[in-house]
Amino acid sequence: MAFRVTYPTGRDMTAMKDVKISQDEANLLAMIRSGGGARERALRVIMQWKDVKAQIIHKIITNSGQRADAEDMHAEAIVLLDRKVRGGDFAHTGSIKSYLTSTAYFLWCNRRRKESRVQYTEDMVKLEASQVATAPADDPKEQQLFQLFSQLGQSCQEILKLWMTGFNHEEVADQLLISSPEMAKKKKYLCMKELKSLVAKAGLKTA
Amino acid sequence: MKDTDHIIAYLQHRLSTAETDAFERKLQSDHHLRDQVHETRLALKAIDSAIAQDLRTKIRSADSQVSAPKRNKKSIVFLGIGLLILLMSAYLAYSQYQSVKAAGYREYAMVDPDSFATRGTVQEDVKAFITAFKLGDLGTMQELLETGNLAQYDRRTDLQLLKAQAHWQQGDYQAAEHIYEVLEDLPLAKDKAALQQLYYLSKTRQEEAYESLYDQLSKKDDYIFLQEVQDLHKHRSGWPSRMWY
Repeated sequence: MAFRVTYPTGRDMTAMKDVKISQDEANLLAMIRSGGGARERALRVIMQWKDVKAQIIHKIITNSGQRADAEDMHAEAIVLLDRKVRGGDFAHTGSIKSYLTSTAYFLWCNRRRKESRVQYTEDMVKLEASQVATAPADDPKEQQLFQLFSQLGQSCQEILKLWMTGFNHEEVADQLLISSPEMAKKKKYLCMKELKSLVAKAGLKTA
Repeated sequence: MKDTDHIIAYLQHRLSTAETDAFERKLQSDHHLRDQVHETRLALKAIDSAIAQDLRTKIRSADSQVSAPKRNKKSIVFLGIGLLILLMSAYLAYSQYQSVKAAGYREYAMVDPDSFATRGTVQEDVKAFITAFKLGDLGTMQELLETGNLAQYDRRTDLQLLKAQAHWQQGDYQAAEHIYEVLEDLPLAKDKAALQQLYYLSKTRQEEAYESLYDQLSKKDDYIFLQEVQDLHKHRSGWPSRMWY
């Protein structure tokens, strides 16, 4: 049976447009963008914003969710923020806090819609156009890619993750006790080659 | 290695516009390069999925035990008000019960003080005795009973019954019972003492003794006296909504 959910956060969404990003938040975005240790520090700050987490828990619990669902959505919202900022796709000009809250709520509605055939309301359709539709954790293709990545050796996984999050070869060499930055660069290349061959074998198509 | 870096730079939008255009022109004609770009794009996505997984793990293990805002403040207020109303109702019911109970003690009088207060030459002493009874002043009552006027008073037994009632009202049941026992031997006071003792037994809920005395008094051949006994017994059945008097 399909049922309709209302989108109760109209007021918050309006507020999101009005609230300008603060200097602190802009600094956090710059830190994520620059990658490496700065990104990790910025994410640590963001994941400890208790008010954001409390708002997400409140919204999801009042919309048929459990606390565990709220925690999942909180994590997914931060993952998306990190991914978009790193990829240079983060176009949101409002507060990061309101971005996280509305994204988490939207991801939750989307999950409910898929599981229980909840229909979109008008507000939710508008929101879908501007935000990602599915939580990364709920995307089967992403899970498949993660499975391929897990087939790499532990050191390869670490090298590629550090490189991708903005650590330079010197920092990678330091962290993973590799003899030199050049060696780290070579190892990264070999790991990337191995991953590409795994992807090629799996025969995946681009989304 | 250089090709791979170039592809990655293209996918991460790090090439200049001219470089991007040149790369895309090459892509259109080079199938092998297109496959390379496709594989590299998926490889980058695979790394991204692992980074996301790491981040999820970190977020979940972060020590940020946050509870949802409490939304039950209203219900607590309503519960408090409800509880207050319940307590007030209970208090009112209890005080009413107490007043009815107290009224029961006061209202019952086997002896009607006004019916003899104006008789004889000992009028002043009788009035004083009744006032002492109303105040519960047993010392004065005893003193008046021992003085000359009331010692010779022909309705002295009525006064003694009042005194017994005063003892009783003050909770001294033993003293009250002692007076009844003494008065039972006097022919004039016998009936009143028996009635008052019946009332006393009902009030103190000595049911066995009450039934025995009631049976005994019911056999008496005196219409008015039996009416009084019946009246007393009838009121007894209303307990606890009505007092036993």
